[in-house]
Formats: sequence, C-alpha cells, structure tokens
Amino acid sequence: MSSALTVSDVHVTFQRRGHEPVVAVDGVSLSLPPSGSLGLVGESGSGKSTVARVIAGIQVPTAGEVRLDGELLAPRRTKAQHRAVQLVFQDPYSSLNPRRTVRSVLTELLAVHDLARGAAAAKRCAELMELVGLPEAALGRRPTAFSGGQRQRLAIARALAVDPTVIVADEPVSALDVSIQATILELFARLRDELGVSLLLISHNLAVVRQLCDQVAVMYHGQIVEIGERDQIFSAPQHEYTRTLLDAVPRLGQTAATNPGGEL
Amino acid sequence: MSATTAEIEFEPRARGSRWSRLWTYPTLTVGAMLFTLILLAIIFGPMFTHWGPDTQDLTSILQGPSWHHWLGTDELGRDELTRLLYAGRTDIKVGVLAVIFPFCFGSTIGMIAGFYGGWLDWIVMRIVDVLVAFPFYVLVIALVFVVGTGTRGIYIAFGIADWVVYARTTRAATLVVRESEYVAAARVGGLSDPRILARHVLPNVITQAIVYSMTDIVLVIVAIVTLGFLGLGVQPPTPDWGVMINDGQSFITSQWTLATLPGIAVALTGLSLSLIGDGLADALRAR
Amino acid sequence: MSQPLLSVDDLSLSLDRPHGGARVVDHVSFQVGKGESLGIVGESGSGKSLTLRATMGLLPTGVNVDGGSVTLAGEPLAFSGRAARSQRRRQLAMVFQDSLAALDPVYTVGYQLSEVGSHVMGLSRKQSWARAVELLDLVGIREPQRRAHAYPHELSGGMRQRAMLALALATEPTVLLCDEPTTALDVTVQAQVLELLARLRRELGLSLVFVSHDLAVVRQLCEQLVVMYTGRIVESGPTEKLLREPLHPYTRGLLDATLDLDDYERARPIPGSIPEPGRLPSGCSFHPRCTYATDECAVTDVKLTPVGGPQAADPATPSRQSACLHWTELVPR
Repeated sequence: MSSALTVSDVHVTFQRRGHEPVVAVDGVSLSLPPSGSLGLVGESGSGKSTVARVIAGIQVPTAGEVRLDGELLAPRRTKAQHRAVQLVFQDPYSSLNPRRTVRSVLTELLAVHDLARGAAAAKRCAELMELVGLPEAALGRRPTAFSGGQRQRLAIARALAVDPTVIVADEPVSALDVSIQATILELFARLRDELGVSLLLISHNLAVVRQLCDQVAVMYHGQIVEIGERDQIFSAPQHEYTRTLLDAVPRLGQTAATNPGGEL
Repeated sequence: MSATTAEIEFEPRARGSRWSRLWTYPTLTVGAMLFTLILLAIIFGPMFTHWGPDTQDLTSILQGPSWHHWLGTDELGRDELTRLLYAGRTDIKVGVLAVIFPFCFGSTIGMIAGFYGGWLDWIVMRIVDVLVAFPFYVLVIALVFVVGTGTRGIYIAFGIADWVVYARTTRAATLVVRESEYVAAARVGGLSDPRILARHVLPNVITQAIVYSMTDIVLVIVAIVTLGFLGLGVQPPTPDWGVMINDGQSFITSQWTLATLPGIAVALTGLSLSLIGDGLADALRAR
Repeated sequence: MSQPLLSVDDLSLSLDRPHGGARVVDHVSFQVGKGESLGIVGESGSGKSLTLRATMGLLPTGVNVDGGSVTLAGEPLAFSGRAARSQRRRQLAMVFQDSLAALDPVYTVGYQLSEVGSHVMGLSRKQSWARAVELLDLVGIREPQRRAHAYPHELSGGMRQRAMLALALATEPTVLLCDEPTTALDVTVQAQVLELLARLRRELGLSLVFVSHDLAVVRQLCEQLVVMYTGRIVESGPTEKLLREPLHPYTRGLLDATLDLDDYERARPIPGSIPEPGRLPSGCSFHPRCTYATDECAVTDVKLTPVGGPQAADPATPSRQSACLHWTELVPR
C-alpha cells in the first residue's frame, strides 16, 4: 500500500562563504499519486538532484514542505520517516560502502528499523536478493566483486529492505552500459507493479523517463517549467524549453526493430 | 526479461582467506617476520640467560664477546646481551603503549571534528595548530620536566603531544568520506549519526592512521631512547636502550660495542616497524 | 575507397597482469579516408578508447602493444617515445571526454592556444594570440577576445568542450580523434557540439574518428561505423545500412536495448554481462549471451568476413563486414 507524496513550494538556496548564494531550487511543487511514477527531467544545474535529496530527507529545504499522505515530513527526518522514502543513487560504484558485505548492510538496516533479526533477517535478505534478481551467494560478498549493473541492483535491494512507500531514483542507469540499462528499468517497473511503490525518477535522459513514468515534470534553472501526462509531454510539448530538449536528443531513426522487411 | 540468476557471474572470491592473502605483500611479510623475531627474542631470550640485567660482576668488566658473555659485559660487569633484551622489553612495551592513547583519542576527535564541522571543528583545529607549533622534542622534554621522568611521564607527555597527527589525518579523510554517497545512503536508511560514524565512516578513514601508528611507535622508541640519553627517560635500574647508549659513550675507545649494540637494536626495531607500516599501506589500500 | 589517410592495421593491445597479460584490443583494423568520418561504438570493455589512444600514441602505463601498426598518410607511426609525438604533431589531434582534465587549470584558454602557435607553428607572440582568438571564434565561442583571458574553470562545460576543440584544431590537423567528447554534456549542449563538429568537417575537410557508446550520436555524425565488443570488431559498414539492418547479434542486441525516444516498444536488454578481459569465453566472445548461438560458435575463432550479398564484391561500395557465423539469419526476409 502506498500513499501520495506532495511537495509544496520548496526552495533550496546554498550559501557559500565568500560567494554569492546559489538558488538551486526555486519554488518547486509536485505530487506523486499512490503507486504512481513521475519523471523529473532537466539538464545540469536544473536542480532536479537537489529536489530528489530534499524529498529523500538528506537536504534541508530553505522553504517549503514535503508531505507523505498528508503527514508532514520533518526536514530532519525521523527514522520512521526515512523508512518511507528511499533513494537509489546514480553511481553504483560509490553508493555502496566498499568495506561492508551486502548481508551486513541489509541486516543492519533491518535491525535498526526493528524489522527483522536473526533467522527472520536472513530470510528477508534472501527474499531481497531474489526480488532484484541476484543469487543468494551475493550476500556474502563486498560491492567490489560486482559489475555496475549488479551493484545498482544491490542499491535497489538496500532501498527495498526497509519497505518504503516511495523510491526516488536519481539517474539510476546513467552510469551503466546501454545493453543492461533496460534490465534495471524493467526491475523498477516490476517493483512498481508488484510491490506498489511509488517511483520518482530523476533523469536527464528523456527516453528513460518515457519508458518508465506516467507523468513527466521538466525542470529548468530550479523551476518546473512544464508538467503533465507522459504522452502529452512527448507528443505535444507546451513549453519552449521542453521542445528544445526534445529536439536536441539524437534519434536512432529506423532500426531493425521498426523496419522488419527492408532490403539489404 | 532480466537475466535469470543462474546466469549472473561476479568476481570469484580471491583464493584463500583474507589472512593468507597478506603474504602477497613482501614488505609486510619481511617487516612482520623481523618484528616477530625481535619480539620472540625479548620475550623468551631472558629465560635462557643465567644473568639478570642487574647482576654485577666487578671482576669481569668491559669484556668483549666470550663464551660466558656472548656480547660481552659493560662497565659494571653486567651481561650485555641480557641487558639488551630486557631493555628491549621496556622500550618496545612503552613504545607501543604510549601510542595507544594518541591513536584512539586523536583519530576519534579528528573524525568527529571532520564529520560535524562547525565550531567543534574550529576549536579542535586551533588546538592542533597550537600543539603543532611547538617542535616535537621541545614539547615532550618540557612536559617530562613538568610531569616527571620515568615511564609515567613518558605516557603523559606523548599523550598530550602526539595525538595531533592522528586527528589531522582522520579529519582529512572524514571530510571526503562524509560527502560520499554511501554515507548519504546510510542517512537515508535512517541510521543514527553515532552508528554512521562507527560503522560506515570509521573503517574508511582509519587506514592511514593505522599505517602511521607503525611509524609512530618507532618515533616514540627513538624519543624514549633520546630522553634516556638525556637522563630524562626511563630511570635506572630499569634497563633502556637510551641509557645504555648514554652510558656506553664513555667507553667508545675501550669497548665500542656498549654504545653501538643498543643503537643497532633500535635501528632494527625501527626498520621492522617501518616495513610493516609500508606493507600495511599497500595491503589496506588494495581493497 | 581512395587512399586512406589514417589506417590502423591488426592492432592488438594487452594489459599487464601478474599472471600473464589480458588482451583488451584484439586484431583491430580500420581506415579513414580524407574528409570521411568513422564512428567506433562499444560499451565498457570494448577497447574503443584504448584503440583511439594507441592511434594517438597516448597509451597509459600498463598497456602493451602486442602487434599491429598505425599509418598516417602513408607514414607508419610509433606508439610511444619522442618519435611518436613529433610524427603526429601537426596532423593528428584528439579531444577527450573530460574537458576540465584536458585543459591546464593554471593557464588561460587563450594562453594555451597561443602556445601551440608560438611553439609548434613558429608564429610570433602577437600572431599566435591573434590565431588563438580566431580559433575560439571558429569553434563558436562568442566574444572570443574576452573569453581568451578566461581560465578553464571559469567556462561552462559546453564552452570548455569548444575550447578543447579549438586546442585540437590549433595545429591544423587532418584527422581529429574524438573520445566520447559529448558524453558528459547536457543534451542541448551536446547537440550544439555535434553540429559544430559537422560544420568543421565541412569547412576544414577534417577526417573524424568518433568513439562513443551512443548509437544515436554516431548516427548523426559518422558515415561509417565500427562496432566493438570485448576488444574485437564485430561488425563494420556504412552507418545507416548497419543500423537499419544489423548483421551481428550484438549490434542487433545493442539496437534493441537502446532507449530511443521514437521507439515506442520497450527496450530489451541483452542478457548476461560483459566478460572481463582475460576471462573471455572461447570462440566468439559474445556466444553466451547470443540467441543465435550454436555449438560451433563456442569453438570457432570467428573472423570478420565481408557480408551482404553481391554488393560486397563491388569495390566501389564500402564493404560491410561481420564477425558472425550466422549472419545470414539476421538478414531480414
């Protein structure tokens, strides 16, 4: 069961000593329906990653609030609030502690949130591995033993361990090889469909967002310039920036998949 | 469809357990073996000599190596080898113990200061700056004057003077680790700060401190020896390499071994610890 | 094809490993003619970057040349040492993915550009500075006189990339090697840089070798395409034809797996994972992940062979090659 996530007029301004304050997020509001999926797209400097961090509770906003199912999520989250919103990071190579085994990371989370200990925890760990498509033997290894795609699955398993209602994925496939990006996206789709988690996907890659999200919000310079249903955004973009973004993406053109009876 | 689990392959576990892989680092192995030999010598050696470290025999002073006294005798007829071994016990024990407090205290405070930043960091760094401004030996000697000589004085003096390097090292490493994504992930996971510090930050920032501690033991031993040389260290009758060197000075022409052998002992111990430190640096980094 | 300008023949590279080297580039050959553009596409471990670096004579330590040669305008090039640098100096240039790392942070952009003028081209200081400003203008940087006084970190990512391009063009090269220069850029900036590269090709008659993992990007810029997997070329040929009708299962898999805005069907990943160098499967290294694989594939050392019917024999058309025993099964009916 999942709840609706609402973000209301969030502002984030970074103050650095000796420099001008930087406005990273300039009044962003959005809402994520239960079991829904929203894609937040933008280029570098758009503020999308900062929004992700605010929603996940590791960045305190200068103004604005985040609510889950009506309940206000404090800027410094409680343990229970953290459970509800989990984050999957972009870089599978640095988001996992290189010195901890998979099992120790998962059991720690289960213990800290009083979810399972001992035999129950072991069972849950095995379940999580199966959920993300990794063998149980992976539990005893350290992250360095795995490839990028596999590590990303571990990161997803970690996010799932605490039974979240919302998963925020910040560029989850950008650092992965093309041939396996779709594996991770499929995994997200499956989790959304089978477990009912809501998904907030941050990406600069429009094609990724198109694959996975029902709704799309476009960010530019800290603001949302356009938000709407996926098909509408991609086929009839309203804002000029959205149009520029769509035009700039190089296309594959007619490929074997779309042109089966062609001549050699 | 995503790949079935049967098709997943990941890096096979390296052959052998973690411990056996340590042998692949030659510097570490040689250093460890040398140090073990020294330890064995100073722990068990004295059991095989008939002489005590203080047994005087004024009839056979300043003798060279002989069947009775393998390394000769000193100016009071005491067996040189026995004294060397007992002195080793003192110096190495004090060296290791004197480093423990600076290591623990310095690393912890450095890590906390680096993690939280702000006023705590500022205060710690100013204290570090003040202590670092004093030349190390000047500080140690001054402290020994104040708190008294002997091993107690040594522990206190080093406790005060030596922790700063550890603080700086772990603070610097913490500043980097603090920003890493796995620490952010631990936060998102709902872990408390003390837990994050202990289980996620500490293991990743402590390696440099561990490597340095090996060299630090050497430094402390040399410092004890120097203090002993100046008469400010370990007090007689407890044997100590520094005192032996000091006493042996006067007999350079008649029995040069009295001053040189303890020096060689210090050098060998220092060498073995340095090799261990170097080897650890490689071994811990390769993860 | 007319006399190729740049030719890489049977290049093989391997990594230094304690228990014997691991092959990372395996008998790779390709040619680029004057004014032509060649794309090299592959994922991590394909060896595409190392191939480019070997061509440029910039191999990192720990990588050894096992065999093969690089020829520029008929002259064979050394892989390392002083000869390597002087041979390439004027004619071959390279741009990289990370512009911040490729530009020296302590000198202004204009200074770095003018260095080339005064030290390589023998111009006076005034002339080389003027040329530096000219180059910045050529790559589309507005207010070039002012920007020339900027340090690399003061420029935006896109401008830095252009500055890096200007630096590469400063010696008036005939061939430009590009190692994923747009991968780290925003998509709008990428579009601008690609357009710039296309324009420069037209205006200067540059030949281009463009390495990327992005099929759509190479499609925009390159007429010829080479696909690499685990250090080997698995397919090569004219870009449009190759992408429309791939004749190697890996290329096919890559196309199916690529997320494309126009492709409404779900992207299909390639099952399995890329093997590590030194632990490649026997025979065709792709066979464990291949739906067309048969027992023969595991034991045969498959070589690149011309494919594609009668046109392949015609010397006038650029040839298509594939390293697959079952390429005929991929021909669309």
